[in-house]
Amino acid sequence: MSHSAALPSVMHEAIPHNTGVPMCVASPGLALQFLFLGMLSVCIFAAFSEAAQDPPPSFDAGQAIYREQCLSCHGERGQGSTEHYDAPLHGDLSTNELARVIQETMPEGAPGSLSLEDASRVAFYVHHEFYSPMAQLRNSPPKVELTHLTTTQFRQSVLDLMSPFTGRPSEWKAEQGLTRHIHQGDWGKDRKEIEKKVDGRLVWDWGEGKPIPEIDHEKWQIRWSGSLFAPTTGVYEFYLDATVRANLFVNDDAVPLIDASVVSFEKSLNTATIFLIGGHSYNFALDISRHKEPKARVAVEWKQPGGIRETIAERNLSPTWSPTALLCDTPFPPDDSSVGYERGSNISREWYEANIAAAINIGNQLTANLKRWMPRDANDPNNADAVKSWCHRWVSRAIRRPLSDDDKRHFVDSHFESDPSIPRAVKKVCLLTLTSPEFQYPAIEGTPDEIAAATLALTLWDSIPDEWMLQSAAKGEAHTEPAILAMADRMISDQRFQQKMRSFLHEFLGTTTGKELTKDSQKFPDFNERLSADLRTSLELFLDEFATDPAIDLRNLFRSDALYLNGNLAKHYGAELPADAPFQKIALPAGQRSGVLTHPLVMANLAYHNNSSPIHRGVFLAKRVLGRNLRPPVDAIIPIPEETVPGMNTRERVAHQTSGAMCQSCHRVINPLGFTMENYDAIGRFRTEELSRPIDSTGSYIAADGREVAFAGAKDLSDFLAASPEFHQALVRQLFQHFVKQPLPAFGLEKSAELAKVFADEGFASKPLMKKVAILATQRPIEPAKGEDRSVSLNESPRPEKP
Amino acid sequence: MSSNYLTRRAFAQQLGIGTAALPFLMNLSSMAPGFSTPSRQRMIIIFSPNGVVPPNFWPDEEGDQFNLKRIMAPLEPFKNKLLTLHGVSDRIRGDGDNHMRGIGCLLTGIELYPGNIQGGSDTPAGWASGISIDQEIKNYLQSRPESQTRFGSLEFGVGVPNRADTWTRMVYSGPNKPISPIDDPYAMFNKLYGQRKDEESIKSILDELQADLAKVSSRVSAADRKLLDEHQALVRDFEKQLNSAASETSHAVPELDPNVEDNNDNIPKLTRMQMDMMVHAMMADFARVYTFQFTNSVGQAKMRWLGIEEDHHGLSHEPDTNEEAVEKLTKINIWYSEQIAYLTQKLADTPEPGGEGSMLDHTTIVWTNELGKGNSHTLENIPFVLIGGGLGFRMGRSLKLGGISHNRLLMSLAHGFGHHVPSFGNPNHCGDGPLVLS
Repeated sequence: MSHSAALPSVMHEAIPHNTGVPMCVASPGLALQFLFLGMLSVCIFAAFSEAAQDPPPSFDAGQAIYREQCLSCHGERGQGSTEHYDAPLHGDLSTNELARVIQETMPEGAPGSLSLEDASRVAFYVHHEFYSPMAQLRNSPPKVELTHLTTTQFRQSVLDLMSPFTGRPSEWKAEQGLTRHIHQGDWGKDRKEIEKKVDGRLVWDWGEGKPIPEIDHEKWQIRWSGSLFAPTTGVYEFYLDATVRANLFVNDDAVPLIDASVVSFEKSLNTATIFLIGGHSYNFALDISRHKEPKARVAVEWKQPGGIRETIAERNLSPTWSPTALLCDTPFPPDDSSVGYERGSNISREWYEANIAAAINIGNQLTANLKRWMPRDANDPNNADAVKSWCHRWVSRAIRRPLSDDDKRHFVDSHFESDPSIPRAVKKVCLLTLTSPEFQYPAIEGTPDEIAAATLALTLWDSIPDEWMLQSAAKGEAHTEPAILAMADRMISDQRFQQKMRSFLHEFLGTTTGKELTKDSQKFPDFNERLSADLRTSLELFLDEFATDPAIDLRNLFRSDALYLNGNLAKHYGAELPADAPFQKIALPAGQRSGVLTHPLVMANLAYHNNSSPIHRGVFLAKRVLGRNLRPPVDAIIPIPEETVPGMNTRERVAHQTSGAMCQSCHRVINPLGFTMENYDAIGRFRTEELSRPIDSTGSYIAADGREVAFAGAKDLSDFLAASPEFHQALVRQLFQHFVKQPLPAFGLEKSAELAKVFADEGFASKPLMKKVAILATQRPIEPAKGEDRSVSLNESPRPEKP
Repeated sequence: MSSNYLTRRAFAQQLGIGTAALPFLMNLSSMAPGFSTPSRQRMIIIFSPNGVVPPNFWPDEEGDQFNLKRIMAPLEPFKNKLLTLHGVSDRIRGDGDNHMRGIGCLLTGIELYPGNIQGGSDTPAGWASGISIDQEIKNYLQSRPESQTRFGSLEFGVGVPNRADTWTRMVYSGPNKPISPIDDPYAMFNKLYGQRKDEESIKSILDELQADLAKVSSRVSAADRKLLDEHQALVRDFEKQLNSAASETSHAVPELDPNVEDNNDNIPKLTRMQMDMMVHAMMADFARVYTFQFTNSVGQAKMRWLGIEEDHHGLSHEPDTNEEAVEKLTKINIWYSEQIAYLTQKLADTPEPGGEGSMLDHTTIVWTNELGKGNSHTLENIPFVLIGGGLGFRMGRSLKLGGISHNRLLMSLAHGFGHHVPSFGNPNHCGDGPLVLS
């Protein structure tokens, strides 16, 4: 990690009220005035459940005081004024905290002149009118915006478009490994099966010997077949090293990805790459055949996107077969994720060209092998009608509704009339469909049932409705709450939901792949690609428990004292395992780990290359986990190098560097959270000492209700979070937005609290929560075509900028 | 025979590109014909399998007064542009049977690696251990701006079995690196013109897309409509760019007979389609080096269109005393000869784009085979028949070379392009340097 990347800034523009109060991490009250001015958040999404709250009795009095003493600098509605103070009064302090800040620091020139009672009145007024996140939402409510399919949604939809014709992979079974057949003898002559079993090992060296003693023929063949599960989307590299005739099939049972039928003994290693969509299983087979080769050896390995070359773990293999998937590997520009989740709000030339290229790509794949996808031979002109009706069905699935006669003509028939070549006509159908607004902007056209089914599929699967849902829509049932609940119930056990949950958890933890983790090689000589890849596997195994079990208590994310470790990780992370031990869940001594927040990969991510970073960790805890709004960094600051302040430990250096009054406005929240994680070094190892002195991992937090909580360390913090309504609301809001790809407040300002209540009432499991999300998503408020602005009467002050 | 079960991967592999790599509006003019080059040279190596019937193939006479036998009779119109090279032998030994070495060493002039492919009785072998002469020449031409072309070389085939092994591969980009010929004309068409066709297809749907966008646009709020307006603007821009790009690269795209299935009985039709496309590619100067592989070594085409039900390889094993088999083999080779005559005629009839004379004057066809004779599996007297003026050889002759190594002929081909390699393939067989043919 570079020094400056993502480093939260501690510098802000000059603030008129700055009187330079010295640093004080432990007693936050002293820096309150800067908190008041510093927490000028512009985030409009954080929400506390006070929507229905009426103005308190002191409202009018507060307004009067504000008009008299504050308005000249802060403006009519807290927007600020150019000559005095131009930042708007926005933040997320409670009214009590706000009152204290006002009392201690305001008005300028005469701080302390207001009674605490008057300060409270002003605080109530300000808080309710424009200061609080809720007030900001009320003043300029976010709306449901039209978005196109994200890249993930585009690819998943295209893949699922084929499922009526190819079938979906069967559900991932508990049984791991591949079906292994051993035959002996010549093909077609005396060939006979010697053995059949399930086996997941793909690295063998028999030398001059035989795979099993039962073979009594010089010629023998082995076929491993089943499915391969791809955990993430991207380019996978496969390595086939064989001294016998070998063919490796991935997502294609007809043409090998690697054809090593010919072995030149000088070169036994063959490699090939293939793009795979994550969360999906693909047919997978290895055929080897020994004829006269002097020695028999075979090894299949893979490199996952961003990973290292390694053997394929048995958990990624299943003996059940999967159909060939239609994969769109066209690169797209990244989707907009500036609001914390990916959404299709970016229309650019690159995006449009990628859309066209993707449609061409899919058209090429379809037409290169029409027989694979269609029941009839598409090259035979006599089959034009059969191919046409195949296309009708395909288009109907793409636009998520039955086709009218006009639609059939528009999307399909006209192309068959204008082009004598069937493949070319199919390609045009594909082009028009996959670039059409009906495919790209789901849920605009159609009956309420069709729109409900489309929305649900997009929400829970990032995909199109399946046959079952389309039938429900055709019957006019899909929009009813019982039908939605029934559909959601079924959808939540699907691999596609699990994958979306997986990607949410990574998004939440900031561990989405693509970031290379490198550490100081002198300080951490053992931290290499291998260790980094194993840490990722360890985290993925842990998260998988939560992604695949919709009944599990999500609070356990923060409660587990166990880590998934293999022999390699155990060596570094405090467990005893044989060096070649496979991954297993190991309970560590009490107090060492508390769930995912203290997972070594998360800790290593939130650290510098040579030291821990309480600031990164604190910012992550405040913003992501607790949903607090921190001012976005203005400027990057390089941390004080260790060697310039010998004897100071990390905590002391951070406290020293952020001791300035301006810094403290944010760091009084950030630091005491981040310090609780000081027991984890830059590579996430548990430590009790730094510079031969015991670690101080005490910390604190002022909750939304104004209560200050003290923590002895990460375990205390994790326990607090698991029970914290702030965390519950932050989590459900982010979950909702990840799945629905729209701001939650746009569905109603009270929804965040409502969802958090469902979450708590139903045992903190994802399933009841996501069913509620499904209902909410299908009830999205649709803007009238005339475009009336709903918020016009309330929104007098300029709309704050989005973060 | 390539199955119709052509998957996307095979398709992409054949194209030599990932399907993701679709550079729209790629301006091809930088790769456009370099008309300023005074003497454009091309070479086409055509392979037909299983040896010939020598008495019906080789002219009896030597020198410039000779008579064509039955097999070469179809080439009579080009007799003065023809050079028959009797007495050239494939001297490469080592692993592999004669069919394998016959095709694998034919253009590489070097041994096969030891490997696991077991032929009839000899030791098993793997791939060839060196580059083939066509790729050597291609690399040379591509390294020089004046002879660079879009593809450098194109590898055509007809009826090549859908399996990669030593018997089905003739062209190598390097040791252990066989190149698959493209035997599906539609795949070749896509490689050559796919992008152009795609652009046409895109253009044909853009109006409908605009109408769809307008329709959807009317159903959404004013705020959301902005997004759709941007989308519509992109479609309009794209259309404009497509139109201007199309006018820049407007050389002709051939019309391909649609829906011809890739099977044994369609070999005559597929051959025509591939040869026509090859000439088209030459007119567009897509490449200077071409190979054309009929089936494969041990090729088993059943030429039912000649009334021959047996497969070619099976027949080629029949003894010389089986007159019926000899007659059939002669007919099979006459058919190959006719195909070459067709291509030659086409080149002779086409004026050299931007140059003098016909395309044949700038092209040398090399017709060859993996064996001298089928039933003996001999690598002596490998058929080499050259036609056309591309390499500046003195044509209209029948030469009897008395058993020289074929490496020397391979060197001559490179030298003909001005690429003066000191040796090619196994240097032990290059002793006396390139064969002098001018």
